[in-house]
Amino acid sequence: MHLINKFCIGSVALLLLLCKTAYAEDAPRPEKGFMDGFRLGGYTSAGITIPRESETTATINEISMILTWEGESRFKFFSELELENPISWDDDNKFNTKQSYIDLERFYLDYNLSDKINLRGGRFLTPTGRWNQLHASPLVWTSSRPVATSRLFPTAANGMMAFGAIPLDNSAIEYSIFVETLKDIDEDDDDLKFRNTKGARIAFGQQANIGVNIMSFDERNVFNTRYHMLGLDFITNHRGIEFLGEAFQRWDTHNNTSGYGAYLQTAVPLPVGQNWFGIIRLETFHRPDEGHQQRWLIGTTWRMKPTQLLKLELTGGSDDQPESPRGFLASFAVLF
Amino acid sequence: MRGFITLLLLIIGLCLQSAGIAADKSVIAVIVANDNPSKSISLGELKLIYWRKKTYWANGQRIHPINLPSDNPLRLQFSSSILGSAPSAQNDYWNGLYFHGVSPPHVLYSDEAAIRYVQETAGSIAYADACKLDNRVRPVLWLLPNGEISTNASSISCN
Repeated sequence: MHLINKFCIGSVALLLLLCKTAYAEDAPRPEKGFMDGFRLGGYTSAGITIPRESETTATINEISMILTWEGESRFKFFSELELENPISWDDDNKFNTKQSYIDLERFYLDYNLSDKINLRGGRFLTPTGRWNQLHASPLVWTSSRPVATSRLFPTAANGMMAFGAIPLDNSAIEYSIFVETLKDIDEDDDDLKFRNTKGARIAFGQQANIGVNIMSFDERNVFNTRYHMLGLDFITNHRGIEFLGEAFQRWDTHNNTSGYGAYLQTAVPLPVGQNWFGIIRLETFHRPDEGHQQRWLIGTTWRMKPTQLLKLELTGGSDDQPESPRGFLASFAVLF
Repeated sequence: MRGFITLLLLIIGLCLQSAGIAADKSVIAVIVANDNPSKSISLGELKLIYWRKKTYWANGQRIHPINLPSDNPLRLQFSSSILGSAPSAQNDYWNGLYFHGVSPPHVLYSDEAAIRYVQETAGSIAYADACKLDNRVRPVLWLLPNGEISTNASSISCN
């Protein structure tokens, strides 16, 4: 393991000792001292993947540490450091750390400009769609991620964002506008490479919350093209059944269609046991260099506690994707 | 005829029961500190504050919302009327916000604790039984037993 990795892990371990641990159901009292404003939390997940066309793997998928600070000032700090695939097992390599790496997922400072406008500077998740903004394994019903939410647009950016919520009658409109100001310095060869990202999102509605996204970015692929993208998403609950969907359409600078993707997912309470849910998802996806793909997923998820999920799923369709292989997946996720 | 009388008594019984349920509900006052610069608060703003979407007052003071325990009758009434769902149905929402570094409102265990907290903590907001209030805090909004919202103190009766 590289020295920098050891340093990062050591830093996280030290912070664990120094900071108060936060929980989702626990809220702190207003803090007095600077150090009292720090909170540490996180999430982790582990799972087994039995793909149709390759060998079985078992992995601790990630250990993610979330460190936040807030005092009585207008500033807030947030960071998320993620140790990806710290330990994997497969028949050839047995237990190994070959796929292990550290990723600074988010690192930003918020400033409250007024009661309706907040400014954010740093590295943040692009506020595009729903899955991308809440992708942590204990917050989603399935082990695999819909392909449309990870391979059509930049999922994070280094830059500036303005965001807030504006009361409207008895409801509110939430908005965010962002622009990338600094390119990503840590790019893997396998990563899709995006540049000059900017975009906006509004979300509204209570019974059904609807989001509208616009985005513009360069993708450094064989075509090296600038794309514009429109996205629509929604989430609603009816008698305990959750319906969730997202759709994205990209155009190049000549207004030609250059990729699209969508998924529709439902989570239905099952009449067996307690807190078991049946999950069904249908996906469609197209990229100019990858062709058209379709996906289906059927699974079940046991919400053992509000912060603990056990997921079992079967995925099929056309072609494999690293984040969504066809086959059987099982995982356990916990928020702490 | 006997069947009709039985049915009538059953209906009257059900009506009395539902009236009893309504009577069990209290008038809830939303309270802030006496020196809070906000003169009034809209329902939309109150929702944003309790969903932790609005976290600062207009003067830049951080907002500290207070909840009662999730099984407290006032919390249940406040939550269903203002936020549109029971506290137990909000776990996913708070887990999602936790992922973005935002904690749910702090929980205190009684009206009196909430009143004292608001009195002593700048920027705080809470709710309490309107008939238990005194001049330590200032009510800015009332939630009536029938679910309606009032900004007029004269509509409240504590007899």
